[in-house]
Amino acid sequence: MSPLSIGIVGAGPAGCFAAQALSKDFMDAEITILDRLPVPFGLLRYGVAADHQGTKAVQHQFERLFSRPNVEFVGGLDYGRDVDLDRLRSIFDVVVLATGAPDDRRLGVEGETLEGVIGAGRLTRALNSHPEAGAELPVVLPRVGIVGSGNVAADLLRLLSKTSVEWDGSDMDDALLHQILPRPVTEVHLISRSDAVEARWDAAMLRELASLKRPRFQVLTGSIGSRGSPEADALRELVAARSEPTDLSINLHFACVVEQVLGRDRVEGIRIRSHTGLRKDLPVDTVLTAIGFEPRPVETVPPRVYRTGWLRTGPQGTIPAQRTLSKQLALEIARDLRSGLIQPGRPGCAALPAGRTTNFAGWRRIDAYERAQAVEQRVRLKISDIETLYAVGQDANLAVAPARGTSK
Amino acid sequence: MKIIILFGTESGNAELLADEVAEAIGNRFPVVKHDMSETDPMELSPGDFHLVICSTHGEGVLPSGAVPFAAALDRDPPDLRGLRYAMFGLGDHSYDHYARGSEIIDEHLRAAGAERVGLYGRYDASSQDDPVQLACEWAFAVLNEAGHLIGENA
Repeated sequence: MSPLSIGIVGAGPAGCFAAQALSKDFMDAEITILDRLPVPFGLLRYGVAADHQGTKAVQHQFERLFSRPNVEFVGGLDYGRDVDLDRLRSIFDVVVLATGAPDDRRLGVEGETLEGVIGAGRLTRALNSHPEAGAELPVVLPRVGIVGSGNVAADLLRLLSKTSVEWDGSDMDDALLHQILPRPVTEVHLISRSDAVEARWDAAMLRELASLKRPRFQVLTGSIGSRGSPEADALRELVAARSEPTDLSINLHFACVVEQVLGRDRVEGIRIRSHTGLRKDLPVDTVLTAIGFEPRPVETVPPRVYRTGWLRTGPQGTIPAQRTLSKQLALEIARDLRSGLIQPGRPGCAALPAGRTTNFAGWRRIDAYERAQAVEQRVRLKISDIETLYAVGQDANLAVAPARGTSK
Repeated sequence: MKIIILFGTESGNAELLADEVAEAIGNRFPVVKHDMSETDPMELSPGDFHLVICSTHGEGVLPSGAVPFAAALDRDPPDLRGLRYAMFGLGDHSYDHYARGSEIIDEHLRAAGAERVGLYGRYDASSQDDPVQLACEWAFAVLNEAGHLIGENA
């Protein structure tokens, strides 16, 4: 019997964990992971903050995965443009969609389309040297409003506060950072719809903020209250820790909503209303929204097509949570194989349309190149230009070091 | 005597290391891999030598894959006197409790009478180290040191 051919769309954590689980459960299966970009790892490369390199340790697992002879990476093939679902179903016995939820949720208030309103996802991609961010790089001016109080908002607080030495050990591209932040941020107003106890960030994220050199934290609207939670306690310490004057004030506004982004052509301020009905206009020149991601409309999928990751669950769940989902996915596919719903025999990877694609060897060239280009105190310098990514990825003359961690 | 590689994982990194260590030492020793999430501490046998590989979640708590195992050790500790093991912890030193998950398992095992031997291996996720290389070096060092306990030609 011919081996099971599996095509996975999206090489982010969800797609890679899916491949890992499927390659364990179906040892003979031939697995192909496609990505629109010429490089793998999705949010692990372009969503996780540059200074949280520890979170990226999971990448070791995925590097191993792609080193297996029955797992292929095809980068630069755009699902929707180069290949559609019908075509994928004719090529693969099993199709897994792991395309995530990439769009920033909209504020839904007047003024949200003014210049200077920037979604957290868009900003994070730009800060991570995403090759599609370059054409219209977001610019963050010194007075910033941040809407939201989850971990993404805490990430933004940290990223906007850091001085150059505080990026040591990261893969931040300093030249890019200067383009996005031409002048240091001097004032931040963070607007949280929930009160301090119910805010959705983790205490660990808040404690990390306490180690930053520049910012002084204060609560301007609402209060932290006396009720305890690890997050509220961390917040209380953060506010108490720093009272001396500084060149960066981070002002927290709890239990209030954004009524309007103010300005004629670009952002001049933000109008908030507390739960008690009190309105305030805060002078800011940039508004960052960190209120989640738009779930893509979830249509039903035809037989032999499965979803995983945020495309399946909506935009919630950590990177490790994707591993759990992938095990569930493997069980479903095993069930459908047993029931005869899936009949192996389709050609797999070789039948994909030709195009300007990269493979895993190409990624290793890019990876080695980026590490070699790293300046002092940085672990890599990412290539942010798509043409250069392809050029390096396809340049067979570039020496490729053995995959990291190869124990043989 | 068998080598049991016992791993506790959240995102799969500890399992990866267990796979790689098993492969690296497999031609010298009989090796079996066990996931803590599917292991009853009562089943641990002093007749085996254990290589324990455990990650750390969040700010120094156990990975979800190790929680039931630790709870069972805590609730109803078996008599593990005579059981020898070596420990390898994964963590991130930018947090206060570096590799704490492994230390929690270590404390539970010792409280039940087991004896830790050899190097306490650690991998720091915010370093540039290669975890597979570190774990394999740790395993070889431990097994060389404990060779007389295990018997090279087991």
